[in-house]
Amino acid sequence: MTIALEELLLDGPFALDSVGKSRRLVPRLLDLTRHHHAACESYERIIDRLHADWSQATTREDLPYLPVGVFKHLLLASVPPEEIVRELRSSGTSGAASRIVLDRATAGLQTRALAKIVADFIGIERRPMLVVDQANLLRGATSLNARAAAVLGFSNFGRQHTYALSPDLALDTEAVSQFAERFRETPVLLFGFTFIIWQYLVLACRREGRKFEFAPGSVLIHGGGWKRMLDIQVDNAAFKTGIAETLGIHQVHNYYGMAEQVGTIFMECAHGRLHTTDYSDVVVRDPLSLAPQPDGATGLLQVLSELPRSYPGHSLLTEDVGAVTGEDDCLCGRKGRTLRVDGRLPRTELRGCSDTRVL
Amino acid sequence: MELLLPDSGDAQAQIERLRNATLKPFDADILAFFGDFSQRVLADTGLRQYPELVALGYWFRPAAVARLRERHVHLAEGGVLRPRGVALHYAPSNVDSVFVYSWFLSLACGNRNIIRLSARSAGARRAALFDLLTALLQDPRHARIAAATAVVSFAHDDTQNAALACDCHLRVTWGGDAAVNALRRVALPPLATELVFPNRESWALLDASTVLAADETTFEAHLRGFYNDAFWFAQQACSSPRALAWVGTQETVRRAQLRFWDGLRAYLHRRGEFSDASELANRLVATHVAAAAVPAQSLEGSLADWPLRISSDALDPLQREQHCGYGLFYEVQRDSLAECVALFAPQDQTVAYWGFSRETLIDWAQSLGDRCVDRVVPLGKALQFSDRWDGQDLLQSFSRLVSID
Repeated sequence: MTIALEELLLDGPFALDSVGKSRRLVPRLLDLTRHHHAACESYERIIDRLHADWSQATTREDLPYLPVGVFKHLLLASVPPEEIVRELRSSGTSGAASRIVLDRATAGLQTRALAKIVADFIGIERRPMLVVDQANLLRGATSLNARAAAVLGFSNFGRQHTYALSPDLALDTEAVSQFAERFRETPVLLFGFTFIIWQYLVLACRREGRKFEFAPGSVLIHGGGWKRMLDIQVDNAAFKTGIAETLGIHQVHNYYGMAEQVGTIFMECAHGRLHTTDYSDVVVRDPLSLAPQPDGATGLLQVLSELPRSYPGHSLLTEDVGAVTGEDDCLCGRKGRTLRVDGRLPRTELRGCSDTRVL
Repeated sequence: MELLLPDSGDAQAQIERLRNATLKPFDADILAFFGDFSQRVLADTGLRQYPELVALGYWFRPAAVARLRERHVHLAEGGVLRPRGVALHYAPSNVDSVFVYSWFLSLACGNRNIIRLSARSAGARRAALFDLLTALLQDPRHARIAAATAVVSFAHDDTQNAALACDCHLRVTWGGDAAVNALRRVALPPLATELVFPNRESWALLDASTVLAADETTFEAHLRGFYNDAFWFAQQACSSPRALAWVGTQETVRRAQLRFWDGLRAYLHRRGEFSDASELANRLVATHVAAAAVPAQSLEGSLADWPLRISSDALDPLQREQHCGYGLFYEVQRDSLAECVALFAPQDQTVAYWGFSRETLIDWAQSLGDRCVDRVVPLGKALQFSDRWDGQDLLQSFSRLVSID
């Protein structure tokens, strides 16, 4: 590795324009490709065999990628086992879960990057924090699932952490009321997974005819994907309306991120765009030809991040569909590419004669 | 437990009834039933859109049943071939024709049949087939067949499986390793026996010189054959080829591959067939995971290609396990047929060939490892059902030989 960790993440995270970013990010990503090629035998085989011209890459579009699904089948590590300090597991809505191994350096980079990004939206001061999830989420877990990892990561931005839901996902009205009452003058941070917030907080409030009033300037940050929300036909606008009605919160930020690239999340600004950072980027590929698409065209999202050192996850082709919505031109003033996420590619169910459904 | 056929009556009562509904192999009522079935299927314009159901109707036409009957007579030499008794079939939910083959062949041998289907696989294809079978079994001429049949559906339940096993003489499990393992935990009575059809995989075996030398007509016919084998069920059937073994020098194979795949792509194009983004996503994950396997592999063409081709030194368990179908093909080159022997594993079932004589293949098959390869058929016949399947002669396995000296 030629990149010193210290020089990383000093600036930004939304400072670099397209020129600055291609100067900083692309060489680092090429460097990471070489690092993982040298350090992870499986990765070496995969890219030598399927992305044979990887070493000639000069642009972000040329970078070899792994389909994000490979982490469900292969444990890919670029560090010896004794350096692994944590293993993340994706939620695995269908079938197997992804396994992501972190060493101390990568885990540290993730924490610092996330802090930089979130601070840009809510400031560096820690706020009283209401976690919209089960009170026992973090107890007794040895390897972290995506929800627990996200809660743990975001907990750094809060103080006086309070959980809004009981272990059986019922709304803990008393806890939430007390929290709102206690911080009636202080802007707070609410955090949770989109579907959990909707199902167990917003809908529970609506059902009970209950409203909470949080202090002006309070912020809600939510992520985890829209799949289940789209299933029940709730879009971002409806979600925001529900939040405003039941919680009185008007600053709501969705983010797009995944267990395979913790740290470099894409946060939604006040203008509704998801932002790449100085340490991350996105390429949109045609879902049939895999060719990089021009800005504005819809396709599969390939996400790039300079954080993954302990596993080869710096360039991942997702099964999420979206588009680049602009570059260096968002009214919020943040530089870099912005994107939109439309949802998940529908997957063909594997079938065949080896399935009697006896089980 | 729900009774699907012969009618929607009481399943338990029907199962009680069929114990005494004895039949003789290939008796007149059975032959009339098959004849009527075949005629109705082939006359039904609504079924034309389901080629595997048309094939099923054709398979049980009188001339074909007569040949089965001759084989049965031949197998009975040295004694009498009697039915096993009550046969309990577990059928795959997703290839509807399989349950009919299993049921009818067992019926031909004179067995009474209980067939368990999953209720989950609804759909127009199954509805069309069931409408036809219901009407057929309600015909008074087929009352004896109806009395000897119970097609049932129930959620997986070991108590239910055990109760059914208690009174059966033969259990037939289709549907792969998981189904076989689950049902093997359910004990059979000591005198009962079982037939199992676990996960299997299949190959195409091509002689490169033959492919190069073929005239256009022959070449097209074989392309069509390969298309039927590999693309009809998107390689999801166990007998569909997922890998190709090419025999010839490296240079000959390279030229033959060029002709073969160019021809196939043009054929797919003419048929107006294409792959979709979801299938591509499946292929991408499969190839990337499998590329971490030990055998040397290289991508032929681009990752977005359909068909997607990967040249490989051999096929290892990771490549086999990850294979998703949908137009993904591993290709292996060997200088001679003899050198192909080590490629084949115990789970390999069908080899669809082009360019080898039957004599050569007989010699070659004798050199294969234990359990490897049960079926060697010309290219284009991989999906055709046969009364010899997975190394079993089904007429024999569905029967009991009483030897008389």
